[in-house]
Amino acid sequence: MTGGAARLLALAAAGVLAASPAGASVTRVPAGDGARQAVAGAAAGDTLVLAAGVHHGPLRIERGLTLRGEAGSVVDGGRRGTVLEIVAPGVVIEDLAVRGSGTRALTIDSGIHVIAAGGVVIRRVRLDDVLYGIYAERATGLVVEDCHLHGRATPGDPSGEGNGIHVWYTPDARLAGNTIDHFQDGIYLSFAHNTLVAHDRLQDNARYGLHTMYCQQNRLVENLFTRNVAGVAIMFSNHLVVEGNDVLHNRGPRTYGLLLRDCSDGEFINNRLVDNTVAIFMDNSNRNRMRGNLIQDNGWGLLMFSSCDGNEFAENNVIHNDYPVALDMRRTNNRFDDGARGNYWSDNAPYDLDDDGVSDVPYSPVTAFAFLSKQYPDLAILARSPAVAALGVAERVIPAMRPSEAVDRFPLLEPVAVSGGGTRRAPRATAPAWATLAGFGALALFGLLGLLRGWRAP
Amino acid sequence: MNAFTHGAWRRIRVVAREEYRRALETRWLFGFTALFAVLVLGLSYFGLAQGREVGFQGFARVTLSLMNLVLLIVPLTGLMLGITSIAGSSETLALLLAQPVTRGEVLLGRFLGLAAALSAAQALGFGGGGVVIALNAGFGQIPGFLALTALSLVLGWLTVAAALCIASIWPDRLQAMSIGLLLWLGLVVAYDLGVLGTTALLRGAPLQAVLFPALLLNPVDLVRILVTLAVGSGALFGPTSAVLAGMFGSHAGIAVGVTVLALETVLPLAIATRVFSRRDW
Repeated sequence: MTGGAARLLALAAAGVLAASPAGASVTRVPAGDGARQAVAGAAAGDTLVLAAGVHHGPLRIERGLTLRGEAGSVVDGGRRGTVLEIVAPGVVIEDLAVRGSGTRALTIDSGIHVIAAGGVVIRRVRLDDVLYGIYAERATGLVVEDCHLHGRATPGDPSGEGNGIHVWYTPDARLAGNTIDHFQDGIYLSFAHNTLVAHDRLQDNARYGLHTMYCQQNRLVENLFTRNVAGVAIMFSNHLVVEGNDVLHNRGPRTYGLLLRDCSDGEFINNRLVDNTVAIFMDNSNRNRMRGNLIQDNGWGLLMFSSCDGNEFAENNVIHNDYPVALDMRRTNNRFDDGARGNYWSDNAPYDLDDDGVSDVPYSPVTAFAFLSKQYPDLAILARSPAVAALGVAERVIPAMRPSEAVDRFPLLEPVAVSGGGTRRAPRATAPAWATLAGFGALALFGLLGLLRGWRAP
Repeated sequence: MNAFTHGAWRRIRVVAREEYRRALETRWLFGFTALFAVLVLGLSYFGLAQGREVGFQGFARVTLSLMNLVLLIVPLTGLMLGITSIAGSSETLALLLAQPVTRGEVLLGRFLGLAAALSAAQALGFGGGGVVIALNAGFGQIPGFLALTALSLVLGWLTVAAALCIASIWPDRLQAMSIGLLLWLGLVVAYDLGVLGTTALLRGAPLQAVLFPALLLNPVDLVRILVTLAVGSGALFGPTSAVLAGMFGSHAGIAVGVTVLALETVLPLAIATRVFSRRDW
């Protein structure tokens, strides 16, 4: 959001002034204490344009008006209670900065609090220094677009409070293009059915990037979840579509990329889960389909409890994970192929005599060590031990050692071409570190000279 | 420093220098140096190239792959180098012992010479690998790699000391080498398999109380855990990593780790000196 665009919008608003129908007015509110009175005096359909500068909150909007900010306009709540409270349907908040909510979770101190009001639109709003960002209850059809929300929670601190966008008992919400960081959960959805979460960036939150409880038919499309304790935590929520998301760098002792608990009949397509401690965790979740996902450089690729049944896992790329799949069951009804094609496993050594791109030999993705360390988590301390590698070789030679019947009958020889993703590749520092370069160069030279001297000596 | 210790130190250095030269002449160390340098450089370069193509992490994984290499071949080389230095070389040894040097000086000198030779060989490999990583990955991955370098050197000294101990107790070359190989297999593979099996047998008995001390006692495990924590992949250890990070994240924890490694070097060396001094060579 640029100041220029805001100015253009303000100009457009001024243009509307002349053309607006009778009854709907556009009023410019100068900075200071006038906003509260202006909001109280406006009628439904009116537009209030907040001039640049600090406007003192809190404001309570009781009619369906449009509140728009010029570039540099801020509504400040003075760190007491909620800054902007919306209790009327059809309110539009645009191009505004909101800051300084109170600090009590009990009274839901938020930047914007929508209560029992349908069709509210919040667009290009910047929220700073707030406990909750946007808290919406009974707000059917809520739209939050292109907002920046920045909270007070420290990443990884479990005592952090307040969510970025908290939606409760609200169907058909649309949350798109937002950047949300430093809250407890970036987005929290509870009894929010048929929600669309798209193109959001959820990062550096104290707990989850996205957390859903008791939601049906939500769609999560092309979001980025990074550096949260869990990227996406979906609980008691069925019939989800999760497509084209990037779930990256969620690392820590108890950290997950995608956490599914009591979550069934979902579709998980073309997501990229990279560099998480556990890429996908599943408990009591059934009949989900996972296809076309990239699962790379994670500790655990898929960690599944025996409470899961009938999930299908096909045409995914499972690359360089320490444990591709860990189960705690010997027999399983979860499928690792769709009957014709399986997955690409980087640590499989397949061969394909009939040259159809599918290995002639089934692949068992659950190693004995993964199985054991799933049962006795303390054993994970042996990870990367040569002994464990030796155990892996022994398993390959002696199939009777396989701990689980989970098997991919049609493992693929080449990685599946995954569509989408790739656009938000994390930038990396490539500048050479000259001091270390010199240090290691000296070390190599020292070794070389030492060796030469030893060889040359009489 | 009085004249006596000064003289002792001078004699130790003479023995060490001679041993260093002798060690570099052996095919063991030449093979190790070449293999190690090629593998470290290759893994650093190709590991990074692969990481770059895919575009993620990679660097920590390169260090961890190198660690697996170190855990396998550094102890083996250290053991073989130390054993062949004493066991089965009774003629040269007898000649050396006829000189005006004490046996303790001979043993200490040989230890220092061998440790220096093994360190020089590793310095070449690690230095080259470090240059490749520093060129491609910047500074971020260097601490983990540095920890690997330092701990690999320590692992080399530690196994040389163990080898001198073995060779002093069993002067027959074949016997000493068999025992050395057994020790290597034990440290690298059998120990962890034993821990794994015991844990499965105990079925969820309070594990950490047994598991942690058991792993701290094996230097190969200790190095593996320290390096994995240093590259920031501690999460690999699952829930246990929180405990480990608490332990080795503190100065006290690191001190414990270093002390254990130092003890495991000094103790075999002390035993070796004692046995070596009493034996009729």
